[in-house]
Amino acid sequence: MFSTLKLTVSHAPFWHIGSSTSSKSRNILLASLLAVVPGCYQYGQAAVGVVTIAIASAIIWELLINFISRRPISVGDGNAALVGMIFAMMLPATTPWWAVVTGTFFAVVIGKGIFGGIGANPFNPAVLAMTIVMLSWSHLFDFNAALLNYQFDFNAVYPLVLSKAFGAPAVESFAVMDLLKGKQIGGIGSTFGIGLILGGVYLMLRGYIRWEISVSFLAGIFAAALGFNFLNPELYAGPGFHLFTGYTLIGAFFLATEDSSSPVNFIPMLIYGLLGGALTILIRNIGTHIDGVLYAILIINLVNPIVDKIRPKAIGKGV
Amino acid sequence: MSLKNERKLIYVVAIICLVVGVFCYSSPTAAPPESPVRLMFKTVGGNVLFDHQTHSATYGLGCLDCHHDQEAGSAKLPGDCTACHGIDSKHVPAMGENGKFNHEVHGQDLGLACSDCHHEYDEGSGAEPQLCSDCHEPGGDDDAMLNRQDAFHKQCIGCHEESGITPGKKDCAGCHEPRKRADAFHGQCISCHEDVGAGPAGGDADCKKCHGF
Repeated sequence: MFSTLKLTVSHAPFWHIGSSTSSKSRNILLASLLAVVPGCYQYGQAAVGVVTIAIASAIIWELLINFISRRPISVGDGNAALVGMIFAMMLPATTPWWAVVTGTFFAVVIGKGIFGGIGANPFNPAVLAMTIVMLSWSHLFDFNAALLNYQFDFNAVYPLVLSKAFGAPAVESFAVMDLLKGKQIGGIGSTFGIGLILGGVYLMLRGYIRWEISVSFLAGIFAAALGFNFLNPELYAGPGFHLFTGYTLIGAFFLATEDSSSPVNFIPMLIYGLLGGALTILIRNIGTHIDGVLYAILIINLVNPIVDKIRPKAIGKGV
Repeated sequence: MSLKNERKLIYVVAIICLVVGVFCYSSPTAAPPESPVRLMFKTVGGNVLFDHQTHSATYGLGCLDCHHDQEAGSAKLPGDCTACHGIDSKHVPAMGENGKFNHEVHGQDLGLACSDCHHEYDEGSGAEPQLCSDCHEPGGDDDAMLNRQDAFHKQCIGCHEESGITPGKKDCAGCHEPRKRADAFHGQCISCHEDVGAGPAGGDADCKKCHGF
Protein backbone atom coordinates (compact mmCIF):
# COMPACT_ATOMS: atom_id res chain seq x y z
CA MET A 1 0.00 0.00 0.00
CA PHE A 2 1.29 3.47 -0.84
CA SER A 3 2.30 5.32 2.31
CA THR A 4 1.76 9.05 2.21
CA LEU A 5 3.70 9.37 5.47
CA LYS A 6 6.96 8.71 3.67
CA LEU A 7 6.47 11.79 1.52
CA THR A 8 5.73 14.11 4.41
CA VAL A 9 8.50 16.66 4.67
CA SER A 10 8.89 20.08 6.28
CA HIS A 11 6.96 22.92 4.79
CA ALA A 12 8.30 25.12 2.04
CA PRO A 13 10.03 27.44 1.52
CA PHE A 14 13.33 25.57 1.91
CA TRP A 15 16.53 27.41 2.54
CA HIS A 16 19.90 25.99 1.67
CA ILE A 17 22.52 27.11 4.15
CA GLY A 18 25.19 27.13 1.48
CA SER A 19 27.09 24.32 3.09
CA SER A 20 27.35 20.58 2.51
CA THR A 21 27.70 17.40 4.54
CA SER A 22 31.39 17.22 3.75
CA SER A 23 31.90 20.82 4.79
CA LYS A 24 30.08 20.13 8.05
CA SER A 25 32.23 17.05 8.70
CA ARG A 26 35.41 19.01 7.96
CA ASN A 27 34.40 21.78 10.36
CA ILE A 28 33.55 19.41 13.17
CA LEU A 29 36.81 17.55 12.57
CA LEU A 30 38.72 20.84 12.77
CA ALA A 31 36.87 21.81 15.96
CA SER A 32 37.66 18.45 17.52
CA LEU A 33 41.38 19.01 16.86
CA LEU A 34 41.33 21.73 19.53
CA ALA A 35 40.89 18.97 22.10
CA VAL A 36 42.62 16.11 20.29
CA VAL A 37 45.96 17.85 19.68
CA PRO A 38 46.52 18.67 23.40
CA GLY A 39 45.49 15.08 24.18
CA CYS A 40 48.08 13.74 21.74
CA TYR A 41 50.66 16.11 23.24
CA GLN A 42 49.86 14.76 26.71
CA TYR A 43 49.88 11.05 25.84
CA GLY A 44 52.34 11.07 22.96
CA GLN A 45 52.81 8.59 20.14
CA ALA A 46 50.32 6.09 21.58
CA ALA A 47 47.48 8.62 21.33
CA VAL A 48 48.41 9.55 17.75
CA GLY A 49 48.26 5.86 16.88
CA VAL A 50 44.79 5.47 18.37
CA VAL A 51 43.38 8.55 16.61
CA THR A 52 44.84 7.77 13.19
CA ILE A 53 43.89 4.08 13.23
CA ALA A 54 40.35 5.02 14.32
CA ILE A 55 39.93 7.47 11.40
CA ALA A 56 41.49 5.14 8.83
CA SER A 57 39.54 2.06 9.94
CA ALA A 58 36.24 3.97 10.08
CA ILE A 59 36.73 5.07 6.46
CA ILE A 60 37.64 1.51 5.41
CA TRP A 61 34.58 0.04 7.17
CA GLU A 62 32.36 2.56 5.40
CA LEU A 63 33.90 1.64 2.04
CA LEU A 64 33.33 -2.04 2.78
CA ILE A 65 29.70 -1.54 3.78
CA ASN A 66 29.20 0.51 0.61
CA PHE A 67 30.57 -2.34 -1.50
CA ILE A 68 28.67 -5.06 0.34
CA SER A 69 25.35 -3.21 0.25
CA ARG A 70 25.97 -2.07 -3.37
CA ARG A 71 25.33 1.54 -2.54
CA PRO A 72 27.17 4.59 -3.85
CA ILE A 73 30.53 5.28 -2.23
CA SER A 74 29.73 7.69 0.61
CA VAL A 75 33.11 8.18 2.29
CA GLY A 76 33.54 11.51 0.52
CA ASP A 77 31.08 13.19 2.88
CA GLY A 78 33.64 12.81 5.67
CA ASN A 79 31.12 11.39 8.11
CA ALA A 80 33.00 8.11 8.57
CA ALA A 81 36.23 9.98 9.33
CA LEU A 82 34.31 12.13 11.80
CA VAL A 83 32.78 9.11 13.53
CA GLY A 84 36.27 7.58 13.81
CA MET A 85 37.68 10.79 15.26
CA ILE A 86 34.91 11.22 17.85
CA PHE A 87 35.20 7.56 18.85
CA ALA A 88 38.97 8.00 19.32
CA MET A 89 38.44 11.11 21.46
CA MET A 90 36.78 8.95 24.12
CA LEU A 91 39.45 6.23 24.19
CA PRO A 92 42.41 5.95 26.54
CA ALA A 93 45.75 6.35 24.76
CA THR A 94 46.66 2.76 25.60
CA THR A 95 43.79 1.18 23.67
CA PRO A 96 45.08 -1.76 21.58
CA TRP A 97 44.66 -1.47 17.81
CA TRP A 98 42.21 -4.36 17.58
CA ALA A 99 39.86 -2.68 20.07
CA VAL A 100 40.01 0.54 18.04
CA VAL A 101 39.24 -1.30 14.78
CA THR A 102 36.47 -3.32 16.42
CA GLY A 103 35.01 -0.14 17.86
CA THR A 104 34.92 1.66 14.53
CA PHE A 105 33.25 -1.44 13.04
CA PHE A 106 30.49 -1.13 15.63
CA ALA A 107 30.22 2.60 14.98
CA VAL A 108 30.20 2.64 11.19
CA VAL A 109 28.62 -0.71 10.34
CA ILE A 110 26.34 -1.50 13.31
CA GLY A 111 25.66 2.06 14.43
CA LYS A 112 25.11 3.60 11.01
CA GLY A 113 25.44 1.37 7.96
CA ILE A 114 22.77 -1.20 8.75
CA PHE A 115 20.24 1.55 9.45
CA GLY A 116 20.74 2.98 5.98
CA GLY A 117 23.74 5.25 6.37
CA ILE A 118 24.08 8.89 7.32
CA GLY A 119 20.89 10.48 8.58
CA ALA A 120 19.16 7.18 9.30
CA ASN A 121 20.92 6.12 12.49
CA PRO A 122 18.75 6.25 15.63
CA PHE A 123 21.76 6.36 17.98
CA ASN A 124 24.95 8.34 17.85
CA PRO A 125 27.24 5.75 16.19
CA ALA A 126 30.35 6.67 18.19
CA VAL A 127 28.46 6.51 21.50
CA LEU A 128 26.91 3.16 20.61
CA ALA A 129 30.32 1.76 19.68
CA MET A 130 32.01 3.11 22.78
CA THR A 131 29.31 1.60 24.99
CA ILE A 132 29.66 -1.80 23.32
CA VAL A 133 33.44 -1.94 23.62
CA MET A 134 33.36 -0.64 27.21
CA LEU A 135 30.92 -3.33 28.24
CA SER A 136 32.87 -5.99 26.33
CA TRP A 137 36.39 -5.16 27.53
CA SER A 138 35.88 -3.03 30.60
CA HIS A 139 39.47 -3.52 31.76
CA LEU A 140 40.77 -1.69 28.68
CA PHE A 141 38.71 1.39 29.43
CA ASP A 142 39.46 1.72 33.14
CA PHE A 143 41.46 4.94 32.91
CA ASN A 144 43.17 4.39 36.28
CA ALA A 145 44.46 0.96 35.27
CA ALA A 146 45.17 1.87 31.63
CA LEU A 147 47.36 4.89 32.35
CA LEU A 148 49.45 3.48 35.22
CA ASN A 149 52.82 4.18 33.62
CA TYR A 150 52.23 7.81 32.62
CA GLN A 151 53.82 10.46 34.79
CA PHE A 152 51.83 13.65 35.25
CA ASP A 153 52.25 16.80 37.26
CA PHE A 154 48.75 16.43 38.67
CA ASN A 155 46.74 13.87 40.65
CA ALA A 156 46.57 11.01 38.17
CA VAL A 157 43.38 9.41 39.38
CA TYR A 158 40.24 9.42 37.24
CA PRO A 159 38.22 12.11 39.07
CA LEU A 160 34.83 10.43 38.66
CA VAL A 161 36.12 7.23 40.29
CA LEU A 162 37.36 9.26 43.23
CA SER A 163 34.05 11.04 43.71
CA LYS A 164 32.05 7.84 43.29
CA ALA A 165 34.12 5.74 45.68
CA PHE A 166 35.22 8.27 48.24
CA GLY A 167 32.69 11.11 48.12
CA ALA A 168 32.95 14.83 47.53
CA PRO A 169 35.86 15.59 49.91
CA ALA A 170 38.12 13.32 47.84
CA VAL A 171 37.81 15.57 44.79
CA GLU A 172 38.22 18.93 46.49
CA SER A 173 41.80 19.05 45.25
CA PHE A 174 40.61 19.25 41.61
CA ALA A 175 40.37 22.97 40.85
CA VAL A 176 38.01 23.96 38.04
CA MET A 177 40.76 25.78 36.13
CA ASP A 178 43.01 22.72 36.30
CA LEU A 179 40.20 20.54 34.97
CA LEU A 180 39.63 22.99 32.11
CA LYS A 181 43.34 22.94 31.32
CA GLY A 182 43.20 19.17 31.01
CA LYS A 183 44.94 18.35 34.29
CA GLN A 184 42.99 15.13 34.70
CA ILE A 185 43.25 11.70 33.16
CA GLY A 186 40.65 10.47 30.70
CA GLY A 187 40.01 9.97 26.99
CA ILE A 188 42.47 11.37 24.44
CA GLY A 189 40.14 14.17 23.37
CA SER A 190 37.85 14.37 26.37
CA THR A 191 39.89 16.11 29.02
CA PHE A 192 41.09 19.43 27.59
CA GLY A 193 38.02 21.47 28.54
CA ILE A 194 39.14 24.76 27.00
CA GLY A 195 39.59 23.14 23.59
CA LEU A 196 36.24 21.36 23.78
CA ILE A 197 34.44 24.57 24.74
CA LEU A 198 36.17 26.64 22.02
CA GLY A 199 35.39 23.96 19.45
CA GLY A 200 31.79 23.76 20.63
CA VAL A 201 31.29 27.52 20.55
CA TYR A 202 32.74 27.66 17.02
CA LEU A 203 30.36 24.92 15.84
CA MET A 204 27.39 26.62 17.50
CA LEU A 205 28.25 29.98 15.92
CA ARG A 206 28.62 28.38 12.48
CA GLY A 207 25.32 26.52 12.99
CA TYR A 208 26.82 23.05 12.66
CA ILE A 209 25.48 22.04 16.05
CA ARG A 210 22.42 23.40 17.83
CA TRP A 211 23.16 25.57 20.83
CA GLU A 212 19.85 24.58 22.41
CA ILE A 213 21.06 20.99 22.85
CA SER A 214 24.53 21.82 24.16
CA VAL A 215 23.38 24.54 26.54
CA SER A 216 20.44 22.56 27.90
CA PHE A 217 22.64 19.46 28.34
CA LEU A 218 25.10 21.47 30.42
CA ALA A 219 22.18 23.14 32.28
CA GLY A 220 20.80 19.67 33.09
CA ILE A 221 24.19 18.62 34.47
CA PHE A 222 24.47 21.82 36.49
CA ALA A 223 20.97 21.71 37.98
CA ALA A 224 21.02 18.00 38.85
CA ALA A 225 24.53 18.15 40.34
CA LEU A 226 23.58 21.24 42.33
CA GLY A 227 20.50 19.47 43.69
CA PHE A 228 22.45 16.40 44.79
CA ASN A 229 25.20 18.56 46.28
CA PHE A 230 22.60 20.60 48.17
CA LEU A 231 21.04 17.43 49.60
CA ASN A 232 24.33 15.88 50.73
CA PRO A 233 27.50 17.92 50.15
CA GLU A 234 29.64 15.25 51.84
CA LEU A 235 28.62 12.57 49.38
CA TYR A 236 27.96 14.37 46.09
CA ALA A 237 30.40 16.71 44.35
CA GLY A 238 29.21 20.10 43.14
CA PRO A 239 28.26 21.16 39.61
CA GLY A 240 31.65 22.73 38.89
CA PHE A 241 33.26 19.32 39.21
CA HIS A 242 30.70 17.44 37.12
CA LEU A 243 30.68 20.01 34.32
CA PHE A 244 34.37 19.61 33.58
CA THR A 245 35.10 15.95 34.27
CA GLY A 246 34.53 12.70 32.41
CA TYR A 247 32.74 12.92 29.07
CA THR A 248 30.56 15.95 30.01
CA LEU A 249 31.99 18.50 27.58
CA ILE A 250 32.52 16.13 24.67
CA GLY A 251 28.99 14.88 25.34
CA ALA A 252 27.50 18.37 25.27
CA PHE A 253 29.25 19.56 22.10
CA PHE A 254 30.11 16.48 20.04
CA LEU A 255 27.89 13.57 21.10
CA ALA A 256 24.41 14.77 22.06
CA THR A 257 24.31 17.14 19.08
CA GLU A 258 24.60 14.47 16.38
CA ASP A 259 22.00 15.33 13.71
CA SER A 260 20.23 12.10 13.05
CA SER A 261 19.69 11.10 16.66
CA SER A 262 18.67 14.48 18.09
CA PRO A 263 15.50 16.58 17.79
CA VAL A 264 15.03 19.51 15.40
CA ASN A 265 12.36 21.55 17.18
CA PHE A 266 13.11 24.14 19.85
CA ILE A 267 11.24 22.77 22.89
CA PRO A 268 12.17 19.16 22.13
CA MET A 269 15.84 20.17 21.88
CA LEU A 270 15.66 21.75 25.33
CA ILE A 271 13.92 18.72 26.83
CA TYR A 272 16.37 16.39 25.10
CA GLY A 273 19.41 18.24 26.45
CA LEU A 274 18.06 18.75 29.96
CA LEU A 275 17.09 15.11 30.22
CA GLY A 276 20.53 14.02 29.04
CA GLY A 277 22.28 16.21 31.60
CA ALA A 278 20.04 15.13 34.47
CA LEU A 279 20.35 11.45 33.56
CA THR A 280 24.13 11.78 33.46
CA ILE A 281 24.21 12.99 37.05
CA LEU A 282 21.67 10.39 38.18
CA ILE A 283 23.84 7.61 36.75
CA ARG A 284 27.03 9.13 38.17
CA ASN A 285 25.62 9.70 41.65
CA ILE A 286 23.27 6.80 42.28
CA GLY A 287 23.94 4.40 39.41
CA THR A 288 26.56 1.69 39.27
CA HIS A 289 28.55 3.12 36.35
CA ILE A 290 31.33 5.65 36.81
CA ASP A 291 30.37 8.10 34.05
CA GLY A 292 26.78 8.42 32.92
CA VAL A 293 27.24 10.49 29.75
CA LEU A 294 27.27 7.63 27.25
CA TYR A 295 24.24 5.83 28.70
CA ALA A 296 22.36 9.10 29.13
CA ILE A 297 22.93 9.98 25.46
CA LEU A 298 21.77 6.56 24.30
CA ILE A 299 18.59 7.01 26.35
CA ILE A 300 17.86 10.49 25.00
CA ASN A 301 18.57 9.18 21.49
CA LEU A 302 15.77 6.71 22.19
CA VAL A 303 13.31 9.37 23.37
CA ASN A 304 14.26 11.75 20.55
CA PRO A 305 11.45 10.70 18.16
CA ILE A 306 8.88 11.05 20.94
CA VAL A 307 9.92 14.46 22.23
CA ASP A 308 10.33 15.75 18.68
CA LYS A 309 6.58 15.35 18.23
CA ILE A 310 6.17 18.47 20.35
CA ARG A 311 6.04 20.96 17.48
CA PRO A 312 3.87 23.80 16.18
CA LYS A 313 0.68 22.73 14.50
CA ALA A 314 1.14 22.70 10.72
CA ILE A 315 -0.86 25.45 9.08
CA GLY A 316 -3.63 24.08 6.94
CA LYS A 317 -3.15 20.51 8.08
CA GLY A 318 -6.47 18.65 8.20
CA VAL A 319 -8.27 21.34 6.21
CA MET B 1 34.73 20.90 -3.94
CA SER B 2 33.33 18.30 -6.34
CA LEU B 3 32.15 14.93 -5.07
CA LYS B 4 35.04 13.25 -6.88
CA ASN B 5 37.61 15.49 -5.24
CA GLU B 6 35.98 15.05 -1.84
CA ARG B 7 36.31 11.32 -2.24
CA LYS B 8 39.94 11.64 -3.32
CA LEU B 9 40.68 13.80 -0.29
CA ILE B 10 39.20 11.19 2.05
CA TYR B 11 41.21 8.41 0.36
CA VAL B 12 44.37 10.42 0.95
CA VAL B 13 43.37 11.05 4.59
CA ALA B 14 42.67 7.34 5.09
CA ILE B 15 46.01 6.26 3.61
CA ILE B 16 47.99 8.82 5.61
CA CYS B 17 46.16 7.88 8.83
CA LEU B 18 46.69 4.19 8.18
CA VAL B 19 50.43 4.62 7.59
CA VAL B 20 50.87 6.86 10.64
CA GLY B 21 48.72 4.57 12.79
CA VAL B 22 50.61 1.41 11.79
CA PHE B 23 53.90 3.22 12.41
CA CYS B 24 52.79 4.42 15.87
CA TYR B 25 51.58 0.99 16.94
CA SER B 26 54.50 -0.95 15.50
CA SER B 27 57.39 1.27 16.52
CA PRO B 28 58.72 0.84 20.04
CA THR B 29 57.33 3.35 22.46
CA ALA B 30 59.26 4.74 25.39
CA ALA B 31 60.05 1.94 27.81
CA PRO B 32 58.05 2.08 31.04
CA PRO B 33 60.09 3.51 33.91
CA GLU B 34 62.19 1.01 35.82
CA SER B 35 60.40 1.87 39.02
CA PRO B 36 56.61 1.70 38.62
CA VAL B 37 54.69 4.99 38.64
CA ARG B 38 51.42 3.60 39.96
CA LEU B 39 50.22 0.07 40.68
CA MET B 40 46.70 -1.29 40.61
CA PHE B 41 46.14 -4.07 43.11
CA LYS B 42 43.10 -6.04 42.07
CA THR B 43 41.26 -7.41 45.09
CA VAL B 44 37.87 -8.91 45.78
CA GLY B 45 37.15 -6.03 48.14
CA GLY B 46 37.63 -3.40 45.41
CA ASN B 47 40.78 -2.43 43.56
CA VAL B 48 43.48 -0.39 45.26
CA LEU B 49 45.43 2.22 43.30
CA PHE B 50 48.85 2.55 44.89
CA ASP B 51 50.97 5.54 43.93
CA HIS B 52 54.39 3.87 43.99
CA GLN B 53 56.26 6.94 42.80
CA THR B 54 54.79 9.23 45.45
CA HIS B 55 55.60 6.75 48.22
CA SER B 56 59.18 6.23 47.06
CA ALA B 57 60.10 9.71 45.83
CA THR B 58 57.94 12.11 47.84
CA TYR B 59 57.62 10.19 51.10
CA GLY B 60 61.21 8.94 50.90
CA LEU B 61 60.48 5.28 51.56
CA GLY B 62 63.30 2.91 50.69
CA CYS B 63 62.71 -0.20 48.60
CA LEU B 64 63.38 -2.43 51.61
CA ASP B 65 60.63 -0.77 53.62
CA CYS B 66 58.13 -2.80 51.61
CA HIS B 67 60.19 -5.31 49.61
CA HIS B 68 61.64 -6.69 52.83
CA ASP B 69 63.06 -9.84 51.26
CA GLN B 70 65.21 -7.85 48.84
CA GLU B 71 68.91 -7.70 49.58
CA ALA B 72 70.08 -4.19 50.44
CA GLY B 73 71.80 -2.54 47.48
CA SER B 74 70.81 -5.36 45.16
CA ALA B 75 70.21 -4.43 41.55
CA LYS B 76 67.74 -7.29 41.31
CA LEU B 77 64.15 -6.20 40.74
CA PRO B 78 61.85 -6.85 43.67
CA GLY B 79 60.06 -10.14 43.31
CA ASP B 80 56.39 -10.81 43.25
CA CYS B 81 54.87 -10.51 46.73
CA THR B 82 52.68 -13.53 45.96
CA ALA B 83 55.78 -15.71 45.60
CA CYS B 84 55.88 -15.87 49.41
CA HIS B 85 52.58 -14.35 50.49
CA GLY B 86 50.23 -16.75 48.76
CA ILE B 87 46.56 -16.01 48.46
CA ASP B 88 45.76 -18.82 50.90
CA SER B 89 49.00 -18.96 52.89
CA LYS B 90 48.70 -19.94 56.52
CA HIS B 91 50.57 -17.70 58.90
CA VAL B 92 51.75 -20.50 61.17
CA PRO B 93 52.64 -19.29 64.70
CA ALA B 94 56.25 -19.73 65.73
CA MET B 95 55.20 -21.54 68.87
CA GLY B 96 52.95 -24.51 69.39
CA GLU B 97 51.88 -27.17 66.94
CA ASN B 98 53.54 -26.82 63.51
CA GLY B 99 55.61 -23.93 64.86
CA LYS B 100 59.31 -23.59 64.09
CA PHE B 101 60.38 -23.04 67.68
CA ASN B 102 62.54 -25.89 68.86
CA HIS B 103 62.37 -26.13 72.67
CA GLU B 104 65.04 -28.79 72.87
CA VAL B 105 67.62 -26.78 70.93
CA HIS B 106 66.96 -23.68 72.99
CA GLY B 107 66.93 -25.48 76.34
CA GLN B 108 69.66 -28.07 75.91
CA ASP B 109 71.94 -27.09 73.03
CA LEU B 110 71.91 -23.35 73.68
CA GLY B 111 71.80 -23.76 77.45
CA LEU B 112 68.96 -21.39 78.26
CA ALA B 113 67.46 -21.74 81.72
CA CYS B 114 63.72 -22.30 82.11
CA SER B 115 63.31 -18.94 83.78
CA ASP B 116 64.98 -17.14 80.87
CA CYS B 117 61.65 -17.46 79.14
CA HIS B 118 59.19 -18.64 81.80
CA HIS B 119 60.19 -15.66 83.87
CA GLU B 120 57.80 -16.27 86.80
CA TYR B 121 58.80 -19.95 87.12
CA ASP B 122 60.50 -21.31 90.18
CA GLU B 123 62.60 -24.17 88.85
CA GLY B 124 62.94 -25.72 92.31
CA SER B 125 59.24 -26.05 92.85
CA GLY B 126 58.93 -29.14 90.65
CA ALA B 127 55.71 -27.79 89.17
CA GLU B 128 55.02 -27.43 85.45
CA PRO B 129 56.10 -24.02 84.04
CA GLN B 130 53.20 -21.64 83.68
CA LEU B 131 51.76 -20.91 80.26
CA CYS B 132 52.57 -17.53 78.74
CA SER B 133 48.91 -16.91 78.02
CA ASP B 134 48.07 -17.25 81.72
CA CYS B 135 49.14 -13.60 81.99
CA HIS B 136 49.73 -12.42 78.41
CA GLU B 137 46.29 -12.75 76.94
CA PRO B 138 45.99 -13.31 73.19
CA GLY B 139 44.78 -10.13 71.56
CA GLY B 140 44.76 -8.32 74.91
CA ASP B 141 45.40 -4.63 74.92
CA ASP B 142 46.34 -3.89 78.48
CA ASP B 143 48.90 -1.20 79.20
CA ALA B 144 50.04 -3.05 82.30
CA MET B 145 50.54 -6.38 80.59
CA LEU B 146 51.80 -7.07 77.07
CA ASN B 147 49.50 -9.15 74.93
CA ARG B 148 50.73 -12.59 73.96
CA GLN B 149 51.97 -11.66 70.50
CA ASP B 150 53.94 -8.66 71.75
CA ALA B 151 55.32 -10.70 74.64
CA PHE B 152 56.58 -13.42 72.31
CA HIS B 153 58.04 -10.93 69.87
CA LYS B 154 59.78 -8.99 72.60
CA GLN B 155 61.08 -12.11 74.24
CA CYS B 156 62.33 -13.88 71.12
CA ILE B 157 63.52 -10.95 69.05
CA GLY B 158 65.16 -9.26 72.02
CA CYS B 159 67.24 -12.33 72.73
CA HIS B 160 68.09 -12.98 69.09
CA GLU B 161 69.12 -9.39 68.50
CA GLU B 162 71.21 -9.40 71.65
CA SER B 163 73.00 -12.60 70.73
CA GLY B 164 73.22 -11.82 67.03
CA ILE B 165 71.69 -15.15 66.11
CA THR B 166 69.24 -15.25 63.24
CA PRO B 167 66.35 -14.90 62.74
CA GLY B 168 66.45 -11.24 63.58
CA LYS B 169 64.08 -8.36 63.87
CA LYS B 170 62.72 -8.21 60.33
CA ASP B 171 63.08 -11.82 59.36
CA CYS B 172 59.45 -12.79 59.96
CA ALA B 173 59.72 -15.88 57.79
CA GLY B 174 62.55 -17.15 59.99
CA CYS B 175 59.97 -18.03 62.63
CA HIS B 176 56.64 -17.92 60.82
CA GLU B 177 55.36 -19.12 57.50
CA PRO B 178 54.58 -16.00 55.43
CA ARG B 179 51.14 -14.62 56.08
CA LYS B 180 48.57 -14.63 53.31
CA ARG B 181 48.74 -11.85 50.75
CA ALA B 182 45.80 -9.81 51.97
CA ASP B 183 47.07 -9.85 55.56
CA ALA B 184 50.59 -8.97 54.43
CA PHE B 185 49.38 -5.96 52.45
CA HIS B 186 47.04 -4.83 55.19
CA GLY B 187 49.71 -5.20 57.84
CA GLN B 188 52.31 -3.43 55.73
CA CYS B 189 50.17 -0.50 54.56
CA ILE B 190 48.05 0.13 57.62
CA SER B 191 50.82 -0.22 60.17
CA CYS B 192 53.01 2.24 58.25
CA HIS B 193 50.14 4.72 57.84
CA GLU B 194 49.43 4.47 61.55
CA ASP B 195 53.07 4.89 62.45
CA VAL B 196 53.44 8.09 60.44
CA GLY B 197 49.91 9.29 61.24
CA ALA B 198 49.11 9.95 57.56
CA GLY B 199 47.08 8.40 54.79
CA PRO B 200 44.31 5.84 55.08
CA ALA B 201 44.49 3.86 58.30
CA GLY B 202 42.24 2.41 60.94
CA GLY B 203 41.73 -1.19 59.93
CA ASP B 204 38.64 -2.89 58.67
CA ALA B 205 36.22 -0.07 59.43
CA ASP B 206 37.88 2.13 56.81
CA CYS B 207 38.20 -0.28 53.89
CA LYS B 208 36.72 2.29 51.52
CA LYS B 209 39.61 4.63 52.09
CA CYS B 210 41.76 2.41 49.86
CA HIS B 211 39.44 -0.02 48.12
CA GLY B 212 37.15 1.33 45.47
CA PHE B 213 39.13 2.06 42.32
